[in-house]
Amino acid sequence: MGEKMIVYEPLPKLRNGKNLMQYIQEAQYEKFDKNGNKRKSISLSNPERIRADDIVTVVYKNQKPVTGQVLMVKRSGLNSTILLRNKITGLGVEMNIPIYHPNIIRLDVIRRPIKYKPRNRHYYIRNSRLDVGEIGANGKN
Amino acid sequence: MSSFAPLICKRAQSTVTNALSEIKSSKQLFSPSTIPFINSQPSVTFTSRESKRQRRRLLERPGLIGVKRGMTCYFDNQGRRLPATILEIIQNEVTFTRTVEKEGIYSIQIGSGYQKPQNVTKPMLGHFRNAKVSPKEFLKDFQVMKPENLLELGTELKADHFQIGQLVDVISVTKGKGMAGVMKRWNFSGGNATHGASLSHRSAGSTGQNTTPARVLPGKKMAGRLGNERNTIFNLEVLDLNAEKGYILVKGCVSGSKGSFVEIRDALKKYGKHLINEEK
Repeated sequence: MGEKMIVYEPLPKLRNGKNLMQYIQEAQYEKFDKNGNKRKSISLSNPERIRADDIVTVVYKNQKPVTGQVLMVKRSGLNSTILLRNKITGLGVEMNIPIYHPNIIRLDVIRRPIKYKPRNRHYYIRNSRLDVGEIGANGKN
Repeated sequence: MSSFAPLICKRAQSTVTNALSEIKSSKQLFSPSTIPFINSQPSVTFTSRESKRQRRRLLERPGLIGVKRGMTCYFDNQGRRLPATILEIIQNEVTFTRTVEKEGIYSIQIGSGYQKPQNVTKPMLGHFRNAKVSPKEFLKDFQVMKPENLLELGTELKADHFQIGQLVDVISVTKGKGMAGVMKRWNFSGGNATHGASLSHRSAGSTGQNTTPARVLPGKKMAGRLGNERNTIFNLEVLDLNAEKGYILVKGCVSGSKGSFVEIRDALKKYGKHLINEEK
């Protein structure tokens, strides 16, 4: 590179050089989970977190609450979901619930098992003797 | 003028008929062979570069160059959860422009990213110096319609170039899969798993007939290189953008790996126009 060659400076760094994915995730949490309750409810560091085998009621802003047993918790940032299973008139019903959805007010754990099953994904209980019963709003079969 | 032949192109103007149309009365009418010469413009043939340019669907402004950073979800105001791709817009500046007079097209070259000067060749450093911008990592030309669409060298483009809710096309290079068999590359069914199948569970089967035509017809789908090719995804919706923070969220997926450069432009099928239709 000769002395005569002029090289211009790059434009200033955006976000003070912060990683974009990290910035967006924090901005999304700030918008959809201001008090951090939803983040805490599935955080692995929280011993009171929602786990597979729990019975959970999801309280909505604009519709009736949904109750079911958790089959699995998928942790992927704002896209995190829990899979609830219940039985309605003997028919197995499952719902994938995006927990950071703005219409969801809170998630209540209404019952925990005495002993947790030794897996994190309980797909194998479907249509077996371990399957969920008809769970009512009070969490009892 | 004896060798006058009608021009085939629709856009070409027959100069003799133009000259004769200016003759007002029959007294002035004289034989075309007595006309010494006519100043005619060079005809625009159907296959000429300018003619092709006028038949192309073009946009009035350039696009942006983004970097694919990953995917997330987006909750819209109707309560829907939509998949979204995050594209970062960094260091987008105009580095060069081309004109019809010199290069045959009107286009704007936009650079993105940053490279250390010691990693850039001297000719390219001169190219960036002329535009008074920093050395760029990735350059791309965006063809525009008219000379007044050209931007000044060194103009910075930000994410608010686009608007929320508009449609964009995203062009990028797909992930390379290397040498792939027909089941992966062309979704063939493969062979039997059992019933005596031997070494042919994923094979292509027959590639043609017998003595006639005694060859494999061109275009036969076979195993080979898969991926690592330019791919355009049309009409993706812009869900969110922020010029200050430098990102765009588009609905759905975008080809390529994380960290790869993508071109983002206004949706050609919606906002593109033909020059030839505009003049009518």
